[in-house]
Amino acid sequence: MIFDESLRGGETLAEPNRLSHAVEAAQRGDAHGWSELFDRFHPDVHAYALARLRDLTAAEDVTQEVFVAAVHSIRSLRDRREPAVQAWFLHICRHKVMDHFRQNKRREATYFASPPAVQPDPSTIAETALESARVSRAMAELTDEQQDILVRRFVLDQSLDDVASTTGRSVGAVKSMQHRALESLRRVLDRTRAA
Amino acid sequence: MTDDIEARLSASLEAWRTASRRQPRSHATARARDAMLVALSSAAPIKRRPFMMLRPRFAHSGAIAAAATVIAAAGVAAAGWNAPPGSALFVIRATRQSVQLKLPGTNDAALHLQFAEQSLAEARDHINPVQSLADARDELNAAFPELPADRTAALWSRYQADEATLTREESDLEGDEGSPQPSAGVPGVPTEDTPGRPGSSPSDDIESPSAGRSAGPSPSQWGGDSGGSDDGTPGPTGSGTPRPDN
Repeated sequence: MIFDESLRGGETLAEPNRLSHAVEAAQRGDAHGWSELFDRFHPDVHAYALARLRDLTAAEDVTQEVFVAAVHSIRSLRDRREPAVQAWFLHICRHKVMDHFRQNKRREATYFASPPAVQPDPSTIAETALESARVSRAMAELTDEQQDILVRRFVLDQSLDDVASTTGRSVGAVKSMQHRALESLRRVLDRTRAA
Repeated sequence: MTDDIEARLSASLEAWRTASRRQPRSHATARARDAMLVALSSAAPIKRRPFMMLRPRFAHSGAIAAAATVIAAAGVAAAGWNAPPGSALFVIRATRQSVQLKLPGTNDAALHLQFAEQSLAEARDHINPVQSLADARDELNAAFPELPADRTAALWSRYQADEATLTREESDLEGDEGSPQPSAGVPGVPTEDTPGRPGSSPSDDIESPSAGRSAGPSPSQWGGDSGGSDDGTPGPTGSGTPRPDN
């Protein structure tokens, strides 16, 4: 099959139809369609994996596994709208993260072994790295669902409505779960600071 | 409350967000893209689904539709099982009766009598009485050649009782309608010439559900001349009157 020429040229998937066409092309096995999806969703998948795994190398490996798995299962994707496609990639990613935890039996962070790409100020970098490492360790004590909600809300900047619709919950349930997750996170952070 | 916690944790969450949103390393990104494209090239080609094979998302719908069809068909069959004559579903009842008669090992005489009694009951209940009595007449005519040679058999007395009931119902119907013609529109109604005989041959212009079921001659053809008894009961005497082979 020939992929729609309008998708070529490294443009972003700004229009809904464009994404829909990319998904359709990818479902036909078209490489250009896959490249479009990769460019659009790779950062989100990577961020989700990194936030959950707290290990850059592991996050990169999981991100790669997500796109390989997506190649084999994209025909099951029916809804071609952006939130649904993003939710589908994150769904695969979440399962890959859990697989990773099961296989490696380790939740301790070897976090940020390499320096951040953007380095505005050494002291800021140090503070940010320290605090993020503390949050990451605290996150490990939350449940999988709580971590999932917090990553979607505070790393991927998804709205309550988006989280609700892509996780099959009501907005009220998402709010409630987010509140409990933040409360748990606060307790753990307070305890580690006191220690 | 949630906002309070969010506010308290905002710095921590922002640090976490910043760290998590960092750009992936370029070599890792390139490796992931290559792996994806390799997987794509080695993926099995898209196969067309075999004809009549449903997509998984429609498999449940198909099963539900099939179940609904079966239930609907069963409902229609149940509704038509004893549908009154003249109704749209009467064909189901006629088919059911034909099948019953064709089943091996059935007593055709008893079945015809049963069908005749059902039609008589419907006539009594004023359910399309003209057609019901015509059907009852056809069934009694069909039952007659199937009756056993032994006239003391229970089926004979049952037949006679049904015949008497039919005659009475026909008379009542004629009385209700004020029609002087005893058998107008009701085939097989006994006339003065053949009182009580079952052999008033069904008229050809009315098609009854039992038409064609009995292969033998009508009662009037073989029971009227030599087999009729004095009391008006029809049929073979068992002595010298040939009966059709069943």
